[in-house]
Amino acid sequence: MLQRPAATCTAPAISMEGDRSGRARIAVVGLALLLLGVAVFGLVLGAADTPAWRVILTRLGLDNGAGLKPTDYLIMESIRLPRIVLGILIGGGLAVSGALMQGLFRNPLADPGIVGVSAGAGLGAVSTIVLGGGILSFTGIYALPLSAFFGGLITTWLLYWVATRNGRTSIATLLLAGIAIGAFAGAATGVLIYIADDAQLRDLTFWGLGSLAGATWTKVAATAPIILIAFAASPFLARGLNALALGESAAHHMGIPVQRMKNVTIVVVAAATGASVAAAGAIGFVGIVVPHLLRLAIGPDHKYLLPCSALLGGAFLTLADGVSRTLVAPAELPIGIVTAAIGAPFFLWILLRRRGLLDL
Amino acid sequence: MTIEARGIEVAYGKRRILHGVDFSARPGEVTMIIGPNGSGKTTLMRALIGEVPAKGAVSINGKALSRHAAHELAAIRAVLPQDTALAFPFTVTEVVGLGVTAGPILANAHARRQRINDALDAVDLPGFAGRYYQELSGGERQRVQLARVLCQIWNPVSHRHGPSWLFLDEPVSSLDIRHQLMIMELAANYARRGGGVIAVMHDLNLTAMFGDRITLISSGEVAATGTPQEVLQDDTLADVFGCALKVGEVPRNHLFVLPQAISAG
Repeated sequence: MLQRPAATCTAPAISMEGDRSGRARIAVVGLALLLLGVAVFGLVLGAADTPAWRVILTRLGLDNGAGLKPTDYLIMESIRLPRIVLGILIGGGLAVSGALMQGLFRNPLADPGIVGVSAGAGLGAVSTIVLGGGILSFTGIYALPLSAFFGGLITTWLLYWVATRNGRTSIATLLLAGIAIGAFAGAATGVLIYIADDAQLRDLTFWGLGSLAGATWTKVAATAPIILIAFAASPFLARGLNALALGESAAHHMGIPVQRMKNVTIVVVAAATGASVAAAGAIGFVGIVVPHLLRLAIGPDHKYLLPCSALLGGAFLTLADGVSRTLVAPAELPIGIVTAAIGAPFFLWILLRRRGLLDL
Repeated sequence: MTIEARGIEVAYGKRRILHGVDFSARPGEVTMIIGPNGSGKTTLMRALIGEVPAKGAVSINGKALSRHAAHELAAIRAVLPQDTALAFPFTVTEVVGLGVTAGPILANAHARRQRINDALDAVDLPGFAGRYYQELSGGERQRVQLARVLCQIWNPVSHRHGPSWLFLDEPVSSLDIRHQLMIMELAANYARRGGGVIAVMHDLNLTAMFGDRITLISSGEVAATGTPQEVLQDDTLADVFGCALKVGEVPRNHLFVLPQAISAG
């Protein structure tokens, strides 16, 4: 950490074989446009029959707004827009967490959902809902994100401690430890649900499904600062994570303060995962699908992988949310079902491709 | 402006590997560390680069190792690892580029690319720029790593930091004979231009050919240290390696070491 953020290069592009940075820079711009397009698409899409385009154009000053009802504005600005913003934040947060975690564990299969960090964060959040009336009133809207953050932090540290010896992570130990920690967190969450009262139970049920429904500006306000800080911190980790791909001692000899860099990465992963889980429940597989696709397209350089993950993650989740809202309209599928339906087969595909390479 | 180590002691648990080793290396020279398996030569190297906790004092360019910040050390010292694993599918250009990033900042993208190309030429891997590192053979990977390490300390001497130091842990272990010679010549050339090279070696003939100074380690202690002529003696080598060896001389004052059958010893 604390290196200069990777400088954006302004020199004329000289192409060199094996240098994918030019392509990566184009990808950043392309993905930003994609995200914008998907966001507009998400705004226009919806169960209610709202003249969405006219509301957008009016707000942009390109339409006089004649004949629009107050409810049209309400639907657009208090229901759809916060949901889109929350989806972008959470999708980006989950994808960046995944990319960071894969860099930290030096393995493309590490993902906060798969190795139990989301479950740990969930346990943190559920404990606060069920047991933490006092904490809730004290920290306000940040109570859930904070408790999820600490749940995620403890889990990540535990994982790292169990699975990494002398700077080498055994992926088998990592996945198995993830199963154990996930199961434990699940059991503890179950106990808490069992002792919860009716009102708490309503909160929990909605939340446990993994959904962007019920997005409000308050929720955005609780989530945005944490995830934006994680986004802001990630460029400073890029150089260290690249060096770490060569191994811990190589990274050290390249001038990286390895221990500090790893600690910061763990905190950032826990913060972004925690904030996401607190706002929308456990949404799986975003953190594995998005960085993997990007590595195929632009290479594993974290200088580009991290910002591209934020953009594509946001677009992916917004799109998945669009699917979840329209597939069984006017009802809604929980978004976790959509991402799992896409992500789980994808995960299996990665396993198949890497079958010969896994050091199980 | 040297590397000095005094009274280096290293223990793994209760097992003591090095018992108070003194070591020094000067810029402008290739200093070789040799010794049988398990003698502690790699451990000595790891103590010199601060990878294992060691008692004693190590200084580099006149300042204690522990008092250099990580980025300061990276500017004057690069280490070629034996381990050539890589976590993600980087291309050769990208791996070598990581070395460029670790070194002094280069003016622009053109200079960066030029540096990467020069380094790949130096290790005889022209045309490999676009290949995926993970698809290369062991020897090719080792040379890509060397190119990366070279990029980190490209200039053997810098105005600000003094001489740069190249640490090579068995640099030719998986190379064919042509590339063994090529890499050793590259190291010797780096020293001729004012840098320092410290290499852990197995091959006694390459050591004899390219070493300016040799430190022979045996059972965690220095058995001999000095020029090849001083260290490479029939009796000393036979003692340390436990087999009969015959040292001879070929034209251009190079020594060679000829193994004899163990039973004949």
